[in-house]
Amino acid sequence: MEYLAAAIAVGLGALGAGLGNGMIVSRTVESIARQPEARGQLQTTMFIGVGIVEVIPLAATVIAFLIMFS
Amino acid sequence: MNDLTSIVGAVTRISYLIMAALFLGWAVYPEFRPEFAGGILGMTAGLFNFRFLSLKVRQVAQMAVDNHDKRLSFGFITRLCIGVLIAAVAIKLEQVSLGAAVAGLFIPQMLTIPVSIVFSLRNNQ
Repeated sequence: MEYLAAAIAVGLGALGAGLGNGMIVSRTVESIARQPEARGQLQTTMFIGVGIVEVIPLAATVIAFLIMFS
Repeated sequence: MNDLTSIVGAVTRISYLIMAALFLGWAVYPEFRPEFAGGILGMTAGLFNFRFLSLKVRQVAQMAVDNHDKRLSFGFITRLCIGVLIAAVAIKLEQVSLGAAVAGLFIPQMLTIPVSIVFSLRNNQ
């Protein structure tokens, strides 16, 4: 049962992060392609967004890892 | 120097300061050594993850400007594996606190929020 719980936690975390990252990156790349001169601001925004989004699946994975081995 | 470089530099400096404080705490308070060691270990890995992500974001932005159609990832699996590795080391070693290591792993990324707010306020003035 612990393995199932861990797998669900990792899977849902990865799914959410994948969707979020995909949306952030696709919109930012599209914006950079339209306005290359705004690249600096856009990549900073992408960096902050991706960094915040990816904290959650990382935390989910570590917590799942703890559930498995505790 | 663009905003991303400034933010990464500022977060790195703040992380080094926090790590120095953790080293000092490790030396001064022997009863809390596992917590301080966990924080140091977690923050080292977190800082690596943070700088790796900034490198990948730069690569993606460069790719968008150059109109290359090659595949590029954000290195999520690499960073995930580093996180799991740190958790495994903390579980294995009694001298390292697991909770502190996990918390330290996220500190550099969480520092991005206040640092970017400060930078945007400074740029608006």
